Amino acid sequence: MIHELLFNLWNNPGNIIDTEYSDWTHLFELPQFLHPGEEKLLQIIINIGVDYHKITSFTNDILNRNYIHQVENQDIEPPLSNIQAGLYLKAFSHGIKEVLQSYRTEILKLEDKFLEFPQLSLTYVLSCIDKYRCLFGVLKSMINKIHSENLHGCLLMNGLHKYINCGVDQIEEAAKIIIKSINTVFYQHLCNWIVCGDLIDPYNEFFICDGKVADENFLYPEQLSDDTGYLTKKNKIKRPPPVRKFYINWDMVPTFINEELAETILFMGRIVWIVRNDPKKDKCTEDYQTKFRRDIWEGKDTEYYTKVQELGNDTFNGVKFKKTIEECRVKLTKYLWSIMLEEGNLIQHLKLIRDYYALGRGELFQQFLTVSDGYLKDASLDSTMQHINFIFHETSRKIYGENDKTYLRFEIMAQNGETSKGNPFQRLQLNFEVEWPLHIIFHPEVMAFYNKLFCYLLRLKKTQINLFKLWSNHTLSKNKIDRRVWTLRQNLMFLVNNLQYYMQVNVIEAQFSILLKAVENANEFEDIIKIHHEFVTNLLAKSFVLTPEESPQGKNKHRLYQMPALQHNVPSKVYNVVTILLELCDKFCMVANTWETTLTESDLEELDFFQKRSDVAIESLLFVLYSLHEKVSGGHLLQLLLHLDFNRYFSKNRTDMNITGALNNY
Amino acid sequence: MPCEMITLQLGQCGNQIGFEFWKRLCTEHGINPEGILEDFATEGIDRKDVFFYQADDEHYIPRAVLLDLEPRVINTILNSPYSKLYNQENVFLSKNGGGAGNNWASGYSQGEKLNEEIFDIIDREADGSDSLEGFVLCHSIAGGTGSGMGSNILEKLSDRFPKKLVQTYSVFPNLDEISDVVVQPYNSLLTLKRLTESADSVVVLDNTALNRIAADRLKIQNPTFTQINSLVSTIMSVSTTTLRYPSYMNNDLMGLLAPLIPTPRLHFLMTGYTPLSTDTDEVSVRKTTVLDVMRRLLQPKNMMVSTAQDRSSQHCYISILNIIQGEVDPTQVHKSLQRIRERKLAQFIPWGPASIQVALSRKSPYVSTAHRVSGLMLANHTNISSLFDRALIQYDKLRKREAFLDQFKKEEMFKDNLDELDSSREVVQDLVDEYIAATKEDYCN
Repeated sequence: MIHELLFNLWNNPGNIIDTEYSDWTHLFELPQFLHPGEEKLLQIIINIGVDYHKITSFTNDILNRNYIHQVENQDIEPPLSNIQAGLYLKAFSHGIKEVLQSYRTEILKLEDKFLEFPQLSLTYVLSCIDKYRCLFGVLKSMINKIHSENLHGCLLMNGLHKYINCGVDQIEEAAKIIIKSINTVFYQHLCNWIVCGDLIDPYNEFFICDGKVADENFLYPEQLSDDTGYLTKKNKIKRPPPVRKFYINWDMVPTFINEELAETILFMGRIVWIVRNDPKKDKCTEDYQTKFRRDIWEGKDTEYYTKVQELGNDTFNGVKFKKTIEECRVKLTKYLWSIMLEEGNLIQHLKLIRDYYALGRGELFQQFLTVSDGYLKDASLDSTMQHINFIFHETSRKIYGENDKTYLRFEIMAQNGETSKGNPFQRLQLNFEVEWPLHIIFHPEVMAFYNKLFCYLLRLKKTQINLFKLWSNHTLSKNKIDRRVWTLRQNLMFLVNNLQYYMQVNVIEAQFSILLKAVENANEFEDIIKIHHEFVTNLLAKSFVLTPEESPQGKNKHRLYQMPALQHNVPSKVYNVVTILLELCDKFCMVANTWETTLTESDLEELDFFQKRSDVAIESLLFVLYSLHEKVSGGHLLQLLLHLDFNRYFSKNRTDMNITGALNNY
Repeated sequence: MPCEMITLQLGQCGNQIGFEFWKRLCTEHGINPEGILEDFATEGIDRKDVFFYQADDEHYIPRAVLLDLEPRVINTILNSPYSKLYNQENVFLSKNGGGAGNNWASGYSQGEKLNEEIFDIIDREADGSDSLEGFVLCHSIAGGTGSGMGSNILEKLSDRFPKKLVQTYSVFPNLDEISDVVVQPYNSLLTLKRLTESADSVVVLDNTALNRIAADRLKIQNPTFTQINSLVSTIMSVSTTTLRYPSYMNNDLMGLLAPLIPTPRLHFLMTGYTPLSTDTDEVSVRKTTVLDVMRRLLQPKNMMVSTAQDRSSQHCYISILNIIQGEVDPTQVHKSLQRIRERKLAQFIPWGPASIQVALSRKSPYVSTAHRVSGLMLANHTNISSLFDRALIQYDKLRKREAFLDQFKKEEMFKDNLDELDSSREVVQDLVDEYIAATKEDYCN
């Protein structure tokens, strides 16, 4: 009987899992001879055996599955249970198997004992295996939880940690064994991700997922639509290589990894992915993949790999984990920073942005606007845009010759939407060939912000040229011009010139020199993102193009895709006034160019009309500047006000505005 | 290449300052005296083509036309190391070589006769440019060729090229010393009329002030022509620096002049430059800040025009453009402007908005200077009228005595009457009156 019992404790007699505890008597040949006490004892012992079999049947089920096969034929051959396949479950099962090893050794020992002393009592058997009752209970509850909550992947780790501190040594030991078993899988994933930027996760168990598509945040509008054949013809500028989309499956994040840490881990792998997928190195690496790959770890990849992997030897040490991740992050981010600076030529890149988007090359855009004046009637026509681009490149070529060909990295595009409304020059945008790896900072959304600034500055410059042309016509005609005409022209030109000076020097040049200094002092990639975004924010806010976010949220610093803290499509009040003023200037230039030396009655009427309108526009500009300057960060408004009211012409008759007082206090 | 400028240098003075100007431009752009780009300068992204063009053999050639009625100065140029720099076809010497005898009328009538030949050169030069923006004329208003022939060319230029701007660098005579040109007041007045009516912008280079600055600021007791001309070439080169080293604004002559010159006739510009140093004087290196520079530029002693301090009238700035070169932080400029406004260091017109415009400009990497920051001021100031006033007084003195008019009467223009002198006086008087009116609040009404 004892032998049968031991046999049953060792082997699963078949359908035992499905049987109830009470229904075990059929296992023994002589149930009728059993004493009720023995029966009780047997039952207790058998129950432990049943638990064991239940557990092993679960682990065997998991371990014997042919996963790959199953994944391929998921629809045809549904899994035995609702449990999803996965390496983590397998590791879990392995862990349990290891835990159960001592039980099996115990049974073998009993068997030996039994052969030695056939008189072995049931109580002895019970005393030997009773210690597993509690453990099996816990293991069973784990399995039940897996069943009921359908746990898989990283999530398996969540529940386990609580057992480490449960106070029962045996259970703690068991939990540690299981955790370590799972850790091998988890840290394998983590190492591959952090060190190699690889994600080998066929069962979607890791908390970072591969979108298997390009990240739409790094795609330009025309890349998003599939219309490639048509668009490649239109755009000559090469777009940066796509960035693979990886994201966090928040449901899968283990509880011991907080949100920030998870983001950091995602960020790190993405950096590695981007560095490893350098398009410049791509061509030569096809054959010798590993040999010539850019080495982001600078020869220390195994060192870091081991470092991360070793974390798995411990159950989990939060401090150590964070420290190691941080160590890796610092290494990565410094490397990325250095290639941004050295290979990406960040400084040069920023200068180009200043030169082109911020019209730092005034001579080029001035000439471009002058030459293209007559040609830009309908920006929605492809042929027009082709011609405009021809003019742009031809003008650049004439000015810069062979020494400077940076202009070839730019192309002019017409902005989509809002067709035929307003000044066609206002719809022109620049496309810039952003090179790897800078495309992760200068992503399409940021470039759209730069384009907003570009439109505005170009518009301002166009109006300025119109006023200059009018001046030139007046001056060259050598005729005596009506005083009122030239005073109005001069006043408008004064405003436009000072506005331009304010934009170019007080905003762009000042912010740019701050930016360059900050870049010099930065030593991490994330710093560059941060200071660059501050630059963009200040640029657009201080030039009134957009309003900054009122309360910028404290976003996670370690993120690949970040946005400047600006509100989309919310221009400031000043912007609206300036727009009205510029429109007025354009109209005035158009009309005044047709006037003869002596003004007719209707000319005078028109002049009067312009005079009044400009008075209103100037007054509202001053009023807006003055009334907003006291608000938070309104100091820049006073800078503009200082230029406009330098000789106190505007403020001398204004008692309601103490401009001088405001300027002196500033 | 867009926005080219053609330089016309006339007479003894014009050719001398022009020569210094081209020397300086060559140094700044890394072009050697033969017109070949130096090895260190091949990567430059400066705009040489505004003032130079490239010949087929890679030579850089100045867009300059050298004109004189007597050969002395031009021969000096052609015997200098820079002789190969110029296009020989652009050097025009009158065949009789007798000069204009310091007589405006002679210069004018010779200019009239040589008109065809001169404009053949100018037309050819203009055709060779992509989109010519204008002409720069260097001359003196006191002698015969620069003033007389210069006047004639000015008149013709605005006829022939009505769409092109004409800027002059005009040297005004030194009134502190007795001139050997006795008819200088006549010459000046007649030229001033053309400068008022035919030029679009006149940069006034006052020899009185230049000599004073050389003596007071540079401690040169008897400055030579070369020393004075080097001052002038500094002014000329810095005032064109935004065209040659362009950045966000003031990249063409129009953009430079339009904000400075609100009304067509008030187009006489004063200049000031600081800090001043000569080749021999590199000792007094002070720490210069933007505020220092901008403040010093507003001091009359740094102005290249000697203006009488007339306390009765409220002379004021119509406009100011400061071209600042060097290591400049834009925020410093703003702070300086604020300080200047606070302390009312500059008096501006009461009839319209006006301010100190600032152009931050790059400078040549090939010329080392001892100063961190330097600045040039181009200012339209009503007090320039005192210079014209002085010219009127001198003229009146001479005219009252009917002195030296015989030389003029020999020429066609003055054979029958002296109406031209009278009309010139009228024009200059009107100009003075307009400047005075511009100091008043009701100027525009």
